[in-house]
Amino acid sequence: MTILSHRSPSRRHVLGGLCACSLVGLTACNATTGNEPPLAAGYRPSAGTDEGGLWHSVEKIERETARSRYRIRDTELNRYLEEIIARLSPEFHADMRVYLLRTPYFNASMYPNGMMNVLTGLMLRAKDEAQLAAVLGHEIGHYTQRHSLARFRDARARNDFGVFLNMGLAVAGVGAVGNLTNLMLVAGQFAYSREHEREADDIGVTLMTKAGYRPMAASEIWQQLIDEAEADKDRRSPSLMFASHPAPQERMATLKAKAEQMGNGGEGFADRYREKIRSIRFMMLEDEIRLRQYDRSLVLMQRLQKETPGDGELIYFEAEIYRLREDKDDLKLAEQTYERATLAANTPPQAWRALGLIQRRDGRHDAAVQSFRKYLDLRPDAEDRAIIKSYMEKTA
Amino acid sequence: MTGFFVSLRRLSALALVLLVAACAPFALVPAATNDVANFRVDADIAWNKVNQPRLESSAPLAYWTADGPALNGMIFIGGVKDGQPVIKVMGDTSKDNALVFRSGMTASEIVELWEAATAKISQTTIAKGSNIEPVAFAGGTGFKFDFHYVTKDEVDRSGIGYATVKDGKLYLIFFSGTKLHHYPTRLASAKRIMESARITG
Repeated sequence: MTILSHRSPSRRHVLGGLCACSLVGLTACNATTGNEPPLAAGYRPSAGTDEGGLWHSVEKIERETARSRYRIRDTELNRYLEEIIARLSPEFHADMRVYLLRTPYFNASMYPNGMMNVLTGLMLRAKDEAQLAAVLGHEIGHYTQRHSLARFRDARARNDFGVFLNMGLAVAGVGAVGNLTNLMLVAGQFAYSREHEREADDIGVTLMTKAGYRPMAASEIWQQLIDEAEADKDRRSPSLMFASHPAPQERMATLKAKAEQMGNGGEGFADRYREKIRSIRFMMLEDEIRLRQYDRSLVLMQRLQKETPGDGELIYFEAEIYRLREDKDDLKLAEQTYERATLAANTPPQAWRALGLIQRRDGRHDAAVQSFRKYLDLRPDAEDRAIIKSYMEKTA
Repeated sequence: MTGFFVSLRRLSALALVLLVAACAPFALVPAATNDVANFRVDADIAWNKVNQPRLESSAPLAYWTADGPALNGMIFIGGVKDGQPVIKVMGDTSKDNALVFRSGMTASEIVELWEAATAKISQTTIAKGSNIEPVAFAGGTGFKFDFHYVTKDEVDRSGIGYATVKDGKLYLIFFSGTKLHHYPTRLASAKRIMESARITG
């Protein structure tokens, strides 16, 4: 682990703050909102304009994003995201590029040149394809309405440029997870007006309904986030989503009312969604648990289990939360939950290892050896075989 | 004041800490036997002690580097007690107990804790320990592990750690550096230090 900042805040961070528009960017509410005429499909600004300069700068960010170590390169999954965008926006989908990034926070963001970033924390939390489509539709709304440009021009007109830069630099130095997450945070800090958010929400629900998705999914995802935030006693990261305004509740109510207007039709495509994210789900769950935001993660894990009862992988990760949290009686609860996982389908071998660790700590040597043996049987090429064998010898 | 502005104020404070750390003087560590953070170790080359590391622990902590803090470094943590945080960014006052050591922890759990610490401190999702194996360390039985992580500058870094729990306290030395050059270049000297370590306090 190195201890010092490895480089100065880059131009990318600063520009990210200027250009990105994120889903969670609902906290800024004092800005006057300039409106720009909507985009035409295939539009590209001329290089000599302020908009052309903005695009040029964002294209540099996009090149870095495309090369990022945090980018999920699963071809099928990326194609799936592109297909959803094409379904939502047949007119503009050719102008947009989507990048899936390994960052365990709920967010997506749209840049003025058509680059869309989707974080794995959103993919993990979406209940079905309709919920994901609601978020992507919202981002498309920001893009087609050129909200980034409006915000950029508005800030410039109000001589806020220096403030933008200073705040961007501060955030860029100490972001949450990776440079790319810094961009998301910066995006959130410099968020659009409520008017823009409402407009993007409205467009999102309209697009998803037209595409055959159930419109109520848009409000549901906000309810899920509220449930998680309320469970978090410390209200920790990412706090910007619920910083100071009751906006999520308002937003959820508005989306619900809009969905009711749109009718009760549409599909969720939950099974298809679960199948598509299958290849990265274990990784996403590991990343979620490693945040050690136990209360939030527990709400999420229990919700996911309601959606797919008897899924051993989800039961295992619930047990992991208890084991790591180690509050009163947590180890006992963890053991019971691991045992439940070992009886379920799709349980990772790590459940037996974790069970063995708890049994070992509790001095139940024979049980621990049995659990470790089962783990090594299920995972004969386990890279931690040497240390597990040593536990077995010591406990035997 | 909104959470947003409180958050920014904290970020600005941390940015200041980074700035101070970046200007911090180094102290020469001679190629000799040295006492550091409750360890006595033998160094075969000169190292540099960072006088104001950005990190802190509930136990004595020291940070050495051979080529510069952004290129490689060795962390010494000498004797974390049960229920105490292992490592955190200096000035981090969050109440979470995420990075707390428990004296009953196995090697696997300590490495897992180190993964979570690295993820948090280095602001990354890519941080993984591997090849955990029991070894003699610091005059007793301990373990070593390999490590791989990517920092926020998106540079791949390799690491190696040695640790033991003695009298219910965690003693750990961890060396890491850029995967392509500064880790392999100094690995032999780093291992010599780790393998020579004796606990002094």
